Amino acid sequence: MIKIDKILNILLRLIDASKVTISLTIVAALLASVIAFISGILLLNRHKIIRFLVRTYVEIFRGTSLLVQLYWIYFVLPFFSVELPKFTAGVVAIALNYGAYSAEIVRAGFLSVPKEQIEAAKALNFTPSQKMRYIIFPQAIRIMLPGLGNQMIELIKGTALVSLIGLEDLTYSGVIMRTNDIADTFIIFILILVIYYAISSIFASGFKLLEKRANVGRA
Amino acid sequence: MESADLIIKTARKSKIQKKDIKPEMIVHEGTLTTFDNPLVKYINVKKNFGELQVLKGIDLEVGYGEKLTIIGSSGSGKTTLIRMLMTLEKPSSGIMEIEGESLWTMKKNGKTVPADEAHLRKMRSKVGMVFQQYNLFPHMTVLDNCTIAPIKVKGMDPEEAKEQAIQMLKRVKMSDKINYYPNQLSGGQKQRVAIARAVLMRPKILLLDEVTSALDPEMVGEVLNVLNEIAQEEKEMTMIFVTHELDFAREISDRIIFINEGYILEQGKPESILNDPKSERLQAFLSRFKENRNL
Amino acid sequence: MWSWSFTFKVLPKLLSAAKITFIATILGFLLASILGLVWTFLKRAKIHWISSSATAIVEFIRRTPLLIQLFFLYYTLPSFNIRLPALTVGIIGLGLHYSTYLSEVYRAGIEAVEKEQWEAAKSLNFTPYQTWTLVILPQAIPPIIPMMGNYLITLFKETPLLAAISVVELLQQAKIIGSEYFQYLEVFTLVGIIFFIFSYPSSLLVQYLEIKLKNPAEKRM
Ligand SMILES: Nc1ncnc2c1ncn2[C@@H]1O[C@H](COP(=O)(O)OP(=O)(O)O)[C@@H](O)[C@H]1O
Ligand SMILES: [Mg+2]
Repeated sequence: MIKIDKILNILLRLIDASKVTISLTIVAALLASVIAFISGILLLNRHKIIRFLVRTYVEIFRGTSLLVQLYWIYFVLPFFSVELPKFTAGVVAIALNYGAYSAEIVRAGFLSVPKEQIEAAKALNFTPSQKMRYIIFPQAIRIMLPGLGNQMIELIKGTALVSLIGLEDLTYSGVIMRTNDIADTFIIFILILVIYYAISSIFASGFKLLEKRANVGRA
Repeated sequence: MESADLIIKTARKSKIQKKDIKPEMIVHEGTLTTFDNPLVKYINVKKNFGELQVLKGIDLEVGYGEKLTIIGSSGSGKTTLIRMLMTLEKPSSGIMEIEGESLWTMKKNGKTVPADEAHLRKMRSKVGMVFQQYNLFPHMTVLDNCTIAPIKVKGMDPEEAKEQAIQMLKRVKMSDKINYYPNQLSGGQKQRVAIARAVLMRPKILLLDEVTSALDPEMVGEVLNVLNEIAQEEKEMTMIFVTHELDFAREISDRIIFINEGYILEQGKPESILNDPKSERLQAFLSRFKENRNL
Repeated sequence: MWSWSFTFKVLPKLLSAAKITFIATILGFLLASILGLVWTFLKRAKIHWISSSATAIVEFIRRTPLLIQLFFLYYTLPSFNIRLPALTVGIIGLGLHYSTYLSEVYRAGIEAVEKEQWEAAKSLNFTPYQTWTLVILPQAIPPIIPMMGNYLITLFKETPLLAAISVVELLQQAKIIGSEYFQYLEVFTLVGIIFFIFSYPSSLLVQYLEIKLKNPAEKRM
């Protein structure tokens, strides 16, 4: 049947376009994690000024909208002679936005480690960095993972917004394909949704696996 | 420390704590309370939490290999006293020494300055602690709980650490559970692992804070038996127990000290302290225990 | 760089576009609240294929971008001869997307109601409808109000996506003005500020409610 051929053809072209979406996802997620961990830890810093500065960053990026941030970075920064390519603008906006949300998760995770555990590590004379690496982090990450997994899904969905500054990701290519093939609108969008669903699900199951590993030994 | 001293002074001025006359310490006959070469020394150590004065002037020396038991009613500051030695709590004033070296201060360019992390780590390597709530690491197996610190902190060869851990776990009768996680163990089993973990670090001083009081009654015995054996075998290791198990204390201690209202009120050999208490406070404390036993 | 005269010139225009943003937020959230409850009941249905398809659909909607869902509704509804204004499509999209989040919140709230309450209702011979409306929901809803509040704020911040289907809400208005004068700094910054002054205090309020209610539903999650 011609129809199946056609669907397959659309699918292949969309999969090709999802390369951009996937690389954007990975780069932005990595950067967001770095930002989240640094800010999450700084939110627990004993210096009030540092906490205030990081808190300000977190609240500004949580309190305004991702698309507004993306537009600001892409359309306003050039007026300050900071001209970012579309991909970079997308990465920066997404990482700053989800980094802010995840910082809160990281902070809560570290706070959740009982102080008795830290005392036990001290009684065994761990150095501060050993204490972090062997005792605090493995217990904190277990609390963080479900929340970070949710943020990961949100981030993947958030990447679709870069199509609105013209980056040729999965969404953008779909919209362009549709204008050429109005009759296939339904199929195209269904396929785009399915691809996003597949990408999200892969990352979601990845996080489920990590959660399982972090939960070893727990009831 | 100085600011904490100030707090005490202002607290006194504002008469929050009224006349604190240091009571005469009652020392039972034939008790060694000072040593030529003490392992641990507290000199007029005070500790307050905000306006609450918990320890009001502790003078105490502990000898090498000594088995010391601290008794006193709940809230009298027993935990605080030993937590300071583990550096989990900082005294408000006074001097603490381990092997003649100040715990909380150090010499730098001929001047005495507050201890830094390196100094504290050096001092901490002489001390170990078993906690009331075990504080095992929930994400590690029994074996890993016992080997992680020897490997990472003492730089021991992993095979060697494992070997020693297995030997030690045998002694606490937990060698059949080395691959279990803490959550799969009973309270008594967890506590025995915690004891093994602490002893494996070979501290000069092992602190044990009410290690059986979180346990169900039927598990107390197994832990005390293990402790008894370790106390007998580890002649070199100084052990400081905080416990309400007076029969156990009688059996294993060289000396018992009774803390009351922030001071050491009475101390002596176990028999003498438990059978012949001098102060009213200690008499009342001990008779409460006898009553409870008879219930 | 920053022009105050330009700011004051465009502010009224932006504020009037903000009206659309608020309409979309409120109606979208209303729809999400109702639809979310529907999902919750469908997922609890005794008939297996109903509950499992509801679960699958909810999962699918949650794991795909709102933006595509908006495009999908906007471009395919007409081919089914459903012609709706863009704003309406936007509200449906927002409502549908966030209904899946709210159904999770409801579930948590319902599960937090002790099972003795069901037994008590049964012992009083309530009908299922009475059990839900008189016993379960009145206990399940109050503790989840802060969580619902959080999603209201999140939905509010997602309204700029409606720009993609040609709804002239706050951000789209800003973009139009910005490109007209080729002056983006003021307009986009203003939009950010407007979003912030509504969402930040609201999130503080939600935090306050959370502490006040000591949310029993959340403990279960
Ligand atoms: N971190 C702390 N902050 C405030 N008060 C404390 C703290 N730790 C202990 N206390 C108080 O100090 C007193 C002595 O406590 P503790 O040393 O635990 O007594 P014990 O072990 O003899 O029961 C108690 O009144 C307790 O409430
Ligand atoms: Mg205590």
